[in-house]
Amino acid sequence: MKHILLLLFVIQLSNISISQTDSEQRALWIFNIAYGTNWENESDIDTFSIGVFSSEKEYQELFDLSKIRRIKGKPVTVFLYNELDNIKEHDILYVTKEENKHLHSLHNNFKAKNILLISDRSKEREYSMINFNRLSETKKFDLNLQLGENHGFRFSGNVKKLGGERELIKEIYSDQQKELQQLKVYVDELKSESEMKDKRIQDLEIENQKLKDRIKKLEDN
Amino acid sequence: MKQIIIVFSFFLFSNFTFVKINNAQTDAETRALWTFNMAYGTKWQNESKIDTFEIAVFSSQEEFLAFENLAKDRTIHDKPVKILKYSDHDGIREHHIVYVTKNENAYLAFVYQKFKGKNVLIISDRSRQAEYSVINFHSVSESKKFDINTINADEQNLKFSKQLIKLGGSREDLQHLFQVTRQELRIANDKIKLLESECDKKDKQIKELEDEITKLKNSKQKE
Repeated sequence: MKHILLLLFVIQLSNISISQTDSEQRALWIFNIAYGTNWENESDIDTFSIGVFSSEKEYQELFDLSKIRRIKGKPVTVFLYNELDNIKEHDILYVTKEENKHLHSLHNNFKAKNILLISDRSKEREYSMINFNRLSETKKFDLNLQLGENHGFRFSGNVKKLGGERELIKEIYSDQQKELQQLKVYVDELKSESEMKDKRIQDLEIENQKLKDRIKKLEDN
Repeated sequence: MKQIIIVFSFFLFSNFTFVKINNAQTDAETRALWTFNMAYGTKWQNESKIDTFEIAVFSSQEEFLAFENLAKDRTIHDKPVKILKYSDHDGIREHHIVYVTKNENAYLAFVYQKFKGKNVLIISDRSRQAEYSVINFHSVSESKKFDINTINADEQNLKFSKQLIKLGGSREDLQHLFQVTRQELRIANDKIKLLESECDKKDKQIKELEDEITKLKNSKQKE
């Protein structure tokens, strides 16, 4: 099941259709990024909640999507905010482009909280964990890993690969290389262990046959 | 010996201080050393037929001398290295590596056109027209020492080691490496599962055989 979800996530990330509107695409990206994000105490979350401040169009897209899609098998509820002061805590807070000027305040309001702050084409990238780029760009979003980790988030290799800077991808690739090296060593160990077992089986079969032959001989006598 | 060289080369690249690179070295010496190290991570066509690697330097005398000094006691893929110097862009012939030094950046496009599609590793130094070389050096003081243009590398039929791409490749090149390695990790994990299950089966088989032998021994003793 986990593999199917992962596959779905990868397919979705790489195949977001061009025929969709930008808001539709961003909504889909938010769901997909959420698949590759780990919240603190995630197992305690029953329903993922997304706050949208304040584009009604983007809210509608997320709301429509929440009717047909889940995040990690859990239902999703979407809330719209028009006033900065009313915004409550959610698992994801999406600050749409026209509210970029409030991003800094929101960052301060939810400092140290486990809220995934997403912005759209903000020039103040230091205040959100995910900042969408123009969708025509190859790199669809920027991941602010440091900020995310400071707020208790962990991100999958795929999110890092898609949103990370070159140095981050280099880092995760180095980790992969080390892991692969370790796995190769383990594969070699298992292979030699398996060969030793083959030898042991062979020896035991010979011993077994010899015993059977001796017993038969005794019986014949 | 080959393994030692590979390990040494890997060590140099992975630290990318290039160990020997210290303040006492000139920038020209540093770049010459990089070029040799890069060559270790490069594969040319029909490489087994190459007797001597040829590096052409166009046209800095200082850089040429740095290469010449290095070629005295270093090899590329265990083969001797010959350094040639060109002062005129028209005269440059085909070599395994053609290094266009910074003072000749104006001629880089010309060199590229001349050797386009040929199995030549074109290296430039701090060129603003990096689209005309396969490797373009950055300033020695920068953390990323060089850029690899993988499109041009394919065009020139040159293959680079993963280690070299990791150091000089673009963000997209690294994304590709990540993707490929993830697939390799999946394959390795599947293999491990298979081998572990095989070992479990064999353990059971061993246990059964040992039990059977004990039984046979007991029955024999009774008789």
